[in-house]
Amino acid sequence: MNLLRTDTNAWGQEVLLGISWDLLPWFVGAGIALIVGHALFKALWEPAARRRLDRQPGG
Amino acid sequence: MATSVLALLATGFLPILGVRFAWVTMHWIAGLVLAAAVLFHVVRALVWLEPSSMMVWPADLRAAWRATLRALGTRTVVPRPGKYLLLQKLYHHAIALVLLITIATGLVMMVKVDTPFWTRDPYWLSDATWGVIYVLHGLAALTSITLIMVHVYFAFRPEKLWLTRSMVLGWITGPEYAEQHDPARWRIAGRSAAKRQAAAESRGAAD
Repeated sequence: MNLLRTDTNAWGQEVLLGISWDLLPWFVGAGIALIVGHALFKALWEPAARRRLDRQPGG
Repeated sequence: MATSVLALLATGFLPILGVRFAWVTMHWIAGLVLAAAVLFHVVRALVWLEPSSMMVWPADLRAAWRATLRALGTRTVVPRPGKYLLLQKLYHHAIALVLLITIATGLVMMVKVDTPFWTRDPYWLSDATWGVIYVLHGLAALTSITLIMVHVYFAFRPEKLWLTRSMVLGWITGPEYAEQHDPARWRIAGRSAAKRQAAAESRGAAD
């Protein structure tokens, strides 16, 4: 997978065209990972941590 | 601002995904609308709002540390924030940086587009410099996708719906203010406080 898009100009030199659009799924995937991670944290971890606190003395 | 960002993402990324249409004119017009909206926001925030409410203070870091400890199961008191939580501030700064990069590079790229105001000049900068500008524009655009996905997700979370309403309508109720914010860190001027309290009471009576 390339990070950058390049091309060759009329003089045979490599020129930079921009960021590679192959990265698009990675940025969408990062968004999905953050969302799923947070949703799981709120649904599973946080209630369990609250129950642990409630069981502690003085809770 | 939100509409122009969505228009920019659609006109910028749909052609990459294979949807063919005349996107360039729509893209630069939406870009100018976004630039104007951001300029309006910056002036409004600096002149009429409190820029300090968006700055990261040591108290924000302490509150975030305690919130982390509590999330990990340690009993501790998490102080209420001022106007914004640490993560809200960090998100704001991230999206601000991303949008400012896209706007700055996009305005430079306008030189390569024919508009009613000027004729395109693709040789204004060297190939290498144009390459760097395109990389920055593309990288910021890709980053904005991740940030916007997270933004929309939080807007629809049940416990954040009151914040979504405040983004759309511009107000929160008195009880929300008292429950979610530290009045010592987010002082409301007397007149507007009385106005908000009256509005909150009328809403409370309606509920």
